[in-house]
Amino acid sequence: MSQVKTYALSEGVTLRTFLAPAFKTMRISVNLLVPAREDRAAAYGLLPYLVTRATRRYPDYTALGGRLAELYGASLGSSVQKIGEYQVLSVSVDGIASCYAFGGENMFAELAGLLLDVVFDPLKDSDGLFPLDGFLQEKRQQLEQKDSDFSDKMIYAHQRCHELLFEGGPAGIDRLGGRKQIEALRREDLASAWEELLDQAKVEIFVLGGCAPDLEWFRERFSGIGGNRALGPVPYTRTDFRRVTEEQTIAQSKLAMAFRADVPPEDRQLFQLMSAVLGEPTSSKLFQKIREERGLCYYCDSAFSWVNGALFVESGVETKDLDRVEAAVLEQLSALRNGEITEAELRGAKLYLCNSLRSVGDSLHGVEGWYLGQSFAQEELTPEQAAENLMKYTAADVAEAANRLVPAVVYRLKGSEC
Amino acid sequence: MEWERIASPRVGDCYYRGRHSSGLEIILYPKETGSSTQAVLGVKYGSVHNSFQWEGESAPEAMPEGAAHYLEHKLFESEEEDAFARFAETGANANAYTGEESTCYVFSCTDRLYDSLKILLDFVQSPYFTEETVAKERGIIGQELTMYQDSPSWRVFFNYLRAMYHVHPVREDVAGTRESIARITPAHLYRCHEAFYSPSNMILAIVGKFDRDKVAALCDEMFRLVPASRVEPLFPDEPETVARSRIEQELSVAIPVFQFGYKCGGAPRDEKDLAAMGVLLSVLASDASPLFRRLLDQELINESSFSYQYFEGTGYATVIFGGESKDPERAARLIQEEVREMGAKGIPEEAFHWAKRSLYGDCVSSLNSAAGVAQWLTDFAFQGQELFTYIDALAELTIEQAEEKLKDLREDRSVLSVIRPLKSARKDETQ
Repeated sequence: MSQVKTYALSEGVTLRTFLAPAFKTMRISVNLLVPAREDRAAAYGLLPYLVTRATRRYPDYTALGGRLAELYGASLGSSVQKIGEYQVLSVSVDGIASCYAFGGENMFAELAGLLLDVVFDPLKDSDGLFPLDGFLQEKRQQLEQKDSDFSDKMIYAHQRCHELLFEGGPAGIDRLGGRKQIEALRREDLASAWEELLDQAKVEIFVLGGCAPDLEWFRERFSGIGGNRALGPVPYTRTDFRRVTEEQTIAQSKLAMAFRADVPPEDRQLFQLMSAVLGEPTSSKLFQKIREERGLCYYCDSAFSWVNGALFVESGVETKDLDRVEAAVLEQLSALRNGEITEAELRGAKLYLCNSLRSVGDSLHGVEGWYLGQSFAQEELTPEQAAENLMKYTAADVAEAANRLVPAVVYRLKGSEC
Repeated sequence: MEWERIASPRVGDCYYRGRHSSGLEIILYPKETGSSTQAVLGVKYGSVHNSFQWEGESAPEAMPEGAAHYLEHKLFESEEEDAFARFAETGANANAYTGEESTCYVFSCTDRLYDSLKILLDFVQSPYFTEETVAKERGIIGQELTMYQDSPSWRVFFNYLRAMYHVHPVREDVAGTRESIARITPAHLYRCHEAFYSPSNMILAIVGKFDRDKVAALCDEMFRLVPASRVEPLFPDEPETVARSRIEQELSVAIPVFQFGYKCGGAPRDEKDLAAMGVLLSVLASDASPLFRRLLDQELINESSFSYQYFEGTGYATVIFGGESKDPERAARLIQEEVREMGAKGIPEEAFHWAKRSLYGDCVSSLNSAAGVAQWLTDFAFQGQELFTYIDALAELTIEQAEEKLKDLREDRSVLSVIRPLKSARKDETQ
């Protein structure tokens, strides 16, 4: 994998480059990381979508779309995610490398210029407010995104489990803010919020793929923004175990279980490995024992998030089998804790993770996701280092990690057919 | 083995294509820079190939719906060690999927390519089914079907096809139904395997790092000389009209989901046809189009869910627009009006120019991904088409060729499929 280079443009702004001419595209992204706050989440969550709608140079949404199409289908992206207790607000631009632009355009200059406009010169009206039509459009679409999340029962069950796990804390705040908060948003609330974000957020900029950026260009433009923040995982606090069942008129019930653990940074790979042995690849216990041997479900997977200090197990099951599948998951976890781990399970999990880690550099999104995640750990690792680390763990280490999991939530979305 | 080199100066890539002595078509696309290599073994056998005629036999055969998908699930199992366990030994990430036109077995790896390739070529040719294992799989596939029953995007799509087609098998769910899979026996699966899983009905595509001679040698070792496939898939005569113009279903959703589109002619298509339709759709409904803007301004769609596609295969083709909408009827009306207006006024030149560039950019971007390229190559090859010819066709496309495709979008052959929130939803089931 080509080398990722990291430059501190200022105390609050980090630039990472991954220059790989083999990629036929480039990607430039600006990620703003702020602690999630109940009173600001909805406003901040709307901003990436608002600023990418129109800029002073391209004041019309359709005209901006036309310019992007002309630039060989380049795309201006916006996204909001939660990483632990942080809300991560991102704007980005993706497009083809200059050597494929048959019109001779300098694609880096074009795309970086567009992104710069989005960040520093989004369209505002004469009162300094985001235009009303764009504000109303984006607010409506945020509410429809909530509807969409409700309609997808896998997403919904995961979100409910996550909410229950972190209820009352910053990690439990929805990435887009609550429905009521979005409905209550006023244009005036947003007027200075973007500047406030640029001033206070930890800024992570990525320049990736087939391009050759001028670092000074970035330093000149971005070093004046950003706040100096130390990022870190969700602090571990042992909470009471919660069991919640809700009913909906659906054909398949969903089971979502969460476990918490106090995981120091040096144990990150160990817990990833433990999750993989339990329920990620097809050689894992959940896949082999619950799906393949007992035919109880189509999917039953685990996933571990170090930043959240949580392991999730999720499955779609027949309502009558909810108890059986929950018991079967606990049975497999118990086997893991007792060290009942075969050579094949351990090797399968290690090779699966190594394969994924070695492939990180094959996609620009993969590289960005990896290093954004690393910014939460004091000591950053390359994917290759992480792969090397996890190979050293034994079955006993994995069992020991499994014994540190504390059951936290069992959420059931119970189906009752029409 | 002889290799044909196919190059595209336009995108700076090349690949190799050859026919193995077993009849297997092999496509090898070098990508020296990435870490992972992707392999696809595609079989030209999908959910639409449910009826077929064996050469020399008097009566055609029909399989229960979902047979191709069931076979895909079961092939991973063997008398000794299942394929997943074997792939776990090499570290390859393996999967499979069944579509309307083909079944594909895939893996990606960063190491031990030839060991994984050997497993792939072996298990796909080694059917092993018993009453017991087939019965066990029924529970797993049953759960997969139940999962799709709750999925608004899945339901709106298959309802749409069911309304559009009278008899063409594309109207059936790829995975079948609980009733149809209950009828599938080991004998059915062996019969389908025998009918369709011959090397001459398969394509092996590898994208990444490999040695061509080693791949050919492995195919020599793994593929026996088997006579070319002796079955002909059968398709009923599908009328040009739609079966019904509206279809609706209620599900536990918070916002309606719709698909609206047109039934197009089912005749075979070439790369130029695909390019012309792609550009037309981009002009009509991309982010830069007046239609997209109108739909947004009237709050009839949202950016995250609205999409459009040209969905086509053997004997079927349809243009589909869809997404979430609080008023699907109005959204469909606006789409229809735009198609009508463009039919009368023609395609604006600037929009045509942008759409061509945009689609070219999409193609170039897609070439980054080994998995994407492997799938693209396989899909094109099964339709008798070629990737770089498609990219060239885009560049050479004229506005008249794109306008010609507007004739395929006839109002009397349109369908609107809608998923609505439950009328009887409990309070906690609404947002």
